[in-house]
Amino acid sequence: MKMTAQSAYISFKVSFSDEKFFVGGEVLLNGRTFCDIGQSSAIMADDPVRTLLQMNADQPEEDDSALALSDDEVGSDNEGQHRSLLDAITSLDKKSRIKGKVIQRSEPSLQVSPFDISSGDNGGSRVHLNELVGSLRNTNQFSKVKTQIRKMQGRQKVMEAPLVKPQAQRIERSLAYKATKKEVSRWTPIVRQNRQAAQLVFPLQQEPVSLPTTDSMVKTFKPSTDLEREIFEVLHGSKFAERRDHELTEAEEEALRAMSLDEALSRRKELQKMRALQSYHAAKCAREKKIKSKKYHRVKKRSRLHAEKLAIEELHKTNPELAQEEIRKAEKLHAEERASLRHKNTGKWARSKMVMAKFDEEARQAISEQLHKSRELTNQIRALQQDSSSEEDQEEEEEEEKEEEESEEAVAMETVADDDKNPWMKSALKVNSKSDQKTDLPVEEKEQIKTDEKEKQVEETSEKKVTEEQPQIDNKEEQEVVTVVSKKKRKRNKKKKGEGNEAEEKADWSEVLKGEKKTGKKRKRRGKKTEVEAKKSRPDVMERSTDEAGEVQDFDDDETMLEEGLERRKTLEEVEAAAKTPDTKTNSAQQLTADKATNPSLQKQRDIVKEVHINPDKFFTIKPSKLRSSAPTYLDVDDNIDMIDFDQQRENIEEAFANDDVVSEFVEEKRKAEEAGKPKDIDLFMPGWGNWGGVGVKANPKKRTRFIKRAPPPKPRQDWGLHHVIINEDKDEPMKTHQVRHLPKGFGSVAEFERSIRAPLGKDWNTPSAVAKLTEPKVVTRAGTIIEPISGEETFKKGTGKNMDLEGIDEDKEGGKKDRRNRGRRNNKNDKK
Amino acid sequence: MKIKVLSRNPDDYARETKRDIQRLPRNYDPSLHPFEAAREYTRALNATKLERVFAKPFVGALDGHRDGVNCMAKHPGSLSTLLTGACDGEIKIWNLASRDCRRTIQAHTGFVRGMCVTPDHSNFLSIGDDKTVKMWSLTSPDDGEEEEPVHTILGKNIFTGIDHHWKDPTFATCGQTVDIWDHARAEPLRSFSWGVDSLNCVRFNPIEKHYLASCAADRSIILYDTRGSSPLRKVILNMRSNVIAWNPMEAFVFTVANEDHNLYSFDIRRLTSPFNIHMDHVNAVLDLDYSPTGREFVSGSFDKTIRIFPLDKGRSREVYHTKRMQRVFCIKWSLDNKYILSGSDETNVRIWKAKAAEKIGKLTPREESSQSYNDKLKEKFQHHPQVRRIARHRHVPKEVYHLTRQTRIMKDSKRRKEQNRIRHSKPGSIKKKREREKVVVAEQE
Repeated sequence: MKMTAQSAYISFKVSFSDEKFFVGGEVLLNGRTFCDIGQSSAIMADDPVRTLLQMNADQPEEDDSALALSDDEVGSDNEGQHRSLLDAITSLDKKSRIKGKVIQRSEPSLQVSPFDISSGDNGGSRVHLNELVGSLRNTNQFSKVKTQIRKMQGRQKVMEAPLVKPQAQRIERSLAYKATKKEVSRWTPIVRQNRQAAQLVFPLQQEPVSLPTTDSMVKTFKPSTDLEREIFEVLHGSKFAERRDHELTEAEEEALRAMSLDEALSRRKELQKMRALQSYHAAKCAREKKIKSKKYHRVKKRSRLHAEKLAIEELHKTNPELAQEEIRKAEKLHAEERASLRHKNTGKWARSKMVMAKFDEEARQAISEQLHKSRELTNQIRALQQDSSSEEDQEEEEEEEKEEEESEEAVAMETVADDDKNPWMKSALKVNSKSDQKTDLPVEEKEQIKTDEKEKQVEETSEKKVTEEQPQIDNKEEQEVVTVVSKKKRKRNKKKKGEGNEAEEKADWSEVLKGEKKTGKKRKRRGKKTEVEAKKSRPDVMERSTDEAGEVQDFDDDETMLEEGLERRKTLEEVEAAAKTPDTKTNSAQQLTADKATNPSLQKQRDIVKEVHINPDKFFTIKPSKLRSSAPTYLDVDDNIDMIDFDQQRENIEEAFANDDVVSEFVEEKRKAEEAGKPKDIDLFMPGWGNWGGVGVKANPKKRTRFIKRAPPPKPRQDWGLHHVIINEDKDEPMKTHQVRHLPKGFGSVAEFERSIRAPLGKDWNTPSAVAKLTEPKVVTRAGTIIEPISGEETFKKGTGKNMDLEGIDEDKEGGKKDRRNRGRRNNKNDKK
Repeated sequence: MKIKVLSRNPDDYARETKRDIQRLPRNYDPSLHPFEAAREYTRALNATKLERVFAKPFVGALDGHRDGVNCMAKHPGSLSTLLTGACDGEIKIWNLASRDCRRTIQAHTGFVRGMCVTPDHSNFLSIGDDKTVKMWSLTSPDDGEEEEPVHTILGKNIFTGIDHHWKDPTFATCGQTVDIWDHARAEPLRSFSWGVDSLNCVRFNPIEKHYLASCAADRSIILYDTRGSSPLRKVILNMRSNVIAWNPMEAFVFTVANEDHNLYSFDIRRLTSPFNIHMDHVNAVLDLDYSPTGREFVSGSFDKTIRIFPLDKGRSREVYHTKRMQRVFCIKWSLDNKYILSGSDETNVRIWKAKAAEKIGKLTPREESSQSYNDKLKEKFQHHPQVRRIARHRHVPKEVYHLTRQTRIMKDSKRRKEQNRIRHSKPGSIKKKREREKVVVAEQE
């Protein structure tokens, strides 16, 4: 605004026909600045002059004098100065004036503009701002204005002249090109990846087709039926349900919290023991079942019956109701037996026996036995019933009295018994109570006690489980076994008090379970196959124990394995060192050769012993270039050249090559090559052909010679007369056309190329899946599918993770490859096999 | 008496169900399958021979134009649709599956210079020597109705090339300037010019969609950004480039078909020299198109042949020709990567297979696997002289053969001369230039 005012002021004195005045943004008139356009634009922003004016307006009284003075000055000097200024301007542009193009107007104005600044006396010099500001020196805001002006002056910049159009365009283009390059370069990793990819399946951006996963199903599942709803509630609401971010369920965690580590360990041990016993028992049962002796079984049965009888009697005393139940069961059994006519001699077996009974003593006996049995069965029931009823009558009253007392006891007993059976669920309480008693005992003792207790429990439980089939003997035996074990353990414990309990336990159990151990071991080694075998060979009960045992055993195995393979022989020296150890018998022969090859000093010693010398007659005249190069170190030392003991050196060489009778070897080799190159006679004689044949018939040697095809005389060899070379002449001309002459591009060495040829691709040598993999085409396209250009939106989509992969490609090309493969790989049908 | 009978248990060899894989008991013991390399070599040799035997690339011809086919356009959404424009201003729309002409439009007076289908597949644009840009609907008019363009834009100058933006409703034409047009306007949105008066070809980049490239009569290739107001860069080659094509899989790669019988592949980030020179044609290359996989491209030439070049190779892998095919004016690679379409001077549009020996139609899994095995074998033994000899052998027309020999002799003599010059001048005074470095005359900012 100011600027326009000023320019207006100027324009009514001068007409600007030329732009020159504005060049550089300053209006320069005869070396005098009327106004600085750059400044004035700055003024528009900060406007110190405006504030200056305002101040002037605000304080008319104070500054009146100064202003008046200036007015006066203007009034007096204005005329002359103005004229001189005009002259100066007109002199600048004479041409235009002469041409009459410039129209000048000068109008005296009444109001004196504050911008009508004259240079005063010092004509020809610039008007500085500080001169203007000088009048404000006494005002309040002077300092503020000063700082503002200073700031403004600091910022003062002059606009540069615009560039010529072509130049400007060139700059614009180069900048745009730079930006383009940068933008396009984001494709570099993708292009590289695609070029190197083992397989590309087009179109690249395929929609992944997949079946809904269980996870996704679970997320969207809503229970509709009652049953589903119930199950859903159980699965989601209850504390037994699995939780997403936790490994254990709430209930499991609670159980864990209730159990300390020691307890858990001891419980585990206990369980192991239980399982061991169980398996042991099962094995035993199996063995006993196989026993064919009738007598044994009879005795066994009798004892069992006896035991049952006793047990019932016992039960009768303690718990008559239960006894009653048992009796009822027995009755039912009897009834069934009677109904089934099992012992009535009506069966197939019985009839066959009847037939045989006439002649066979045994058969007769068997039949009678059975008859007796049936009679016994029918009679026995009555007797038993009578007994039980009479007894019941007698004891009824007593029992009623006892019952009350017993019931109280029973409750107590039950809890205790329960604890005994399952000491772990309520272990915290019990341990506390027990620990009171056993605080004095050392740890091992405690352990023993515990184990003893457990053994008892084991017995009890096993007794319980074993029903009719289980004989008394078993239990006894088992007890014995367990006691033996525990005795052993005790002994051990006493022996190794210092060692950790756990390890001992394991060791003991591993001893006990020797049989299982082996299977476990095998299983670990062989893997799945043996697992199946183990399943077949052993009953289900034993599986767990074998597992455990296997685990236990594996520690030992590992240790031994470690001993065997602790040292890794990486370098040649290490291997040699290992070979030197005397205990490796198998390697001794190799060792010798290795020693020979690698350890020249040893070789030397041996050779010295042998005292072999080079035959001086056998030699070639060969330039000794290689030998010299091999012994250069001596020659570096100038002074010592004379000192070198040439004899010594010669001896050294002699020693080094003592055994290499190179010359004779070469001669022999050449002779062989010549021999092999000679054409051979072909013997076409067939015994018996045109002659009598058979054993002892000799063919006529004359006839024989007739059938021998004589070879033509050998062609002269190329190396004939050349003693130091063997020229191989048996190259195969027809093969040559099939052989690759030069190493193809892309292969580092001949060996590499040969390797690539040697590896077969076909299904005669590879499995179907391998063949499918080896022969997969580099580019796969489907007929009838439009392949669209790769799209930036898809490739650089955020959040897909593709981008992330791509960033890492420069470092890890393989990863990229894999990624690409996974993206567009088709399924191999042959992979089924 | 003991009788021995041949018997076998069907469990050992029979499938349980029909859908099962045939049981094929195998023993992979390498000692039972000796001479693997030799056997595979024989197989490779046989496969190569068979490939040559079965190499019958010509599928069919579309006959119907009354003048030479000057330009073609693929339909971006339909594989069976092809548009061809002839030198008499006639446009034909073909169905490739049935190989018949669906529509014939007398679109322009004079040549049809270029065509392109809009990305929404509803219309196509054509330009002709009559200084018009016409937009036509792809749906044919009802019976009795005449073919009328949807729009017609009258230009001030002749248009020589047209290409459509890959997504937006804008297209570019070239003539005296490169103009960017909008569907809704009759005036160009923007015009680019850089000191040239005639441009032959303009193409949008299919990946970075706002970039353009054009070839000009002053032997230059010019790059543009439609977002900016000025071109990006100009490269001047030894001779004029006829056509430019962008790689659809690599955003910064384009190839130009040049008058000097070669094709040059450039990286737009480094325009000082092409990264590959593709030689084999013996006359000016008139058109080229990339395969949709971006690994290969096909070129048609004035020497009456079509050649297929791998992008990373300097020589063609295939040459197609027939006795009757004249100068190939336009060529396209179908969008499913299976076929090549060529339009030539003698009014025919021909359909070729992209792989000469490929079997058309569905392959059984066994065929497929044996095919891929054979391909791998050929690749494995490609360096063996016999295999190479057979695989490389092609029959070419007599002129082409002689011209090839002639160009070889010329090239050899040039090389010899250069070598001699180097030999007989002061060492280091003449720098040996690589072939690639000789291509670009100047790169202008």
